[in-house]
Amino acid sequence: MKRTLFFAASFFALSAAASLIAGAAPSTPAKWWKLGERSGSPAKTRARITRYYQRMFPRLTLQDYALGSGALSKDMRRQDEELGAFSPAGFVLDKGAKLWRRPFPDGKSYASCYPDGGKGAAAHYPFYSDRQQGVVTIPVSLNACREKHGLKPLPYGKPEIVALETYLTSLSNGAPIAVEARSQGAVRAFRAGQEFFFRDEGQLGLACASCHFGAVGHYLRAQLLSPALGMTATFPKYRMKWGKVGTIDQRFRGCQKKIRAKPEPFESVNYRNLQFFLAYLGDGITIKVPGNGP
Amino acid sequence: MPASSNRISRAFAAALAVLAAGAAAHAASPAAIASGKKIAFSRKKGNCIACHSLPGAAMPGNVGPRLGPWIKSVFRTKQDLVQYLYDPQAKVPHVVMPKFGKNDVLTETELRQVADYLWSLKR
Ligand code: HEC
Ligand code: HEC
Repeated sequence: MKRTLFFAASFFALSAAASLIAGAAPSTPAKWWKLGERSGSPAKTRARITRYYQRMFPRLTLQDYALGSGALSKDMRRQDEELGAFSPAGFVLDKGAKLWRRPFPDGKSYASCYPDGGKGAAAHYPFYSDRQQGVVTIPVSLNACREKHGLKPLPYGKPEIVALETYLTSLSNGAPIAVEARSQGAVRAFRAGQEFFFRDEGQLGLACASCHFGAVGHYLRAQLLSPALGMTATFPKYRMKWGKVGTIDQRFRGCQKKIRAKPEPFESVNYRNLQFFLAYLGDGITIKVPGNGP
Repeated sequence: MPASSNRISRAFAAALAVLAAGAAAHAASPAAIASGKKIAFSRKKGNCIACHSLPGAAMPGNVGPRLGPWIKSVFRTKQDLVQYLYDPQAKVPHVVMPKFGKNDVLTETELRQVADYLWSLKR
């Protein structure tokens, strides 16, 4: 019933999206796969991608994209908010804060590894490190910090490091994402993430972009497909389906399984490039962690 | 002339194939139609209702258009429909629909059963 009402309310938005995909309206950016072109600067790519969504959803502001599929439907947004009531996010934050403050054997703690004790740091993650020749995500930086202070790295994707990432990211709540891609290596990492996002994968032969650009705003079964813009702003996120707070890499794994592709290990090179690509696209969108969703 | 007789026999074979396809269209067994429907609704198999509304589907998606009896006018023959399901991108480049045959998601038999099912849809 709720669905039916929503359909009626958003009939115009959806039919506009449908006609874009069918290529019926000549003045609209129907050719979503062209956004996969890797020419010009990353900033230019971001502008073209932002314009694509803005034409499709003219009433959304940039900040609205932090809501994911909730930006496209009031019902979805309400559902996300209601889920917040069941979210164990408070416990995860407390746990993260405790771990964060626990002193290392040398007396230092995580805070010593980040400017300003970690306040606002997450807004600049992930970043490309010329020295390490790769993308440094928050979990990677947490483990680097541990190793620097004589501790073993934590296994990625497990509760301890997820709690730490959630806490550290929450210290940037309210700050706009500010990720740069200036150096040659950074541009390469951005392009690699973009290439991955637009590459057909798995037995179903679909790309991330097929769903999150080509079919954005449409329903896959009962799930409303969200835009790629702002995807990183609410991760780590509590998902009812997971019954816990999880990272964006966990979501990548889920989406890869959906198209019957082999999911990659947490913080793999491809996933770090993907995180970098998506965070760069979301430049200026406000961080709000932990998010909530179905 | 061997060449022209060859051509004639090829034309004859093609005509026969069309006839056979036509006959098959009428001859789709209830069992084949039922299997086709099962495949279309199954998450592990076709999962067509993830993207298409079909009669009786609960909470179908809408990535693709609603499917109904009108598809018989979109595809002239059932074989054309099978061909489309085999590799939709061959007809519509970049379409957000899996290549069910080309990528071995469904077997030829399964594709034909799905086509039998779609062809059997009534108003
Ligand atoms: C078959 C369609 C499909 C494909 C292909 C797909 N996804 Fe998704 N994705 C979904 C659905 C459905 C959801 C849940 C609804 C939503 O938020 O979009 C989702 C959610 C997400 C989310 C969480 C968004 C949020 O705000 O919580 C991320 C991140 C994501 N996908 C990334 C990817 C990446 C990266 C790929 C490629 C490896 C990919 N997706 C491929 C269907 C798809
Ligand atoms: C990931 C989404 C997706 C899935 C899964 C999917 N389709 Fe599609 N399908 C589409 C889209 C999108 C189109 C629209 C193509 C176009 O715009 O021309 C389409 C078009 C079609 C058409 C042509 C309809 C017309 O009116 O032109 C048929 C027939 C069809 N699909 C059958 C199927 C069947 C049968 C299955 C399951 C075996 C299936 N589809 C699974 C997305 C999907």
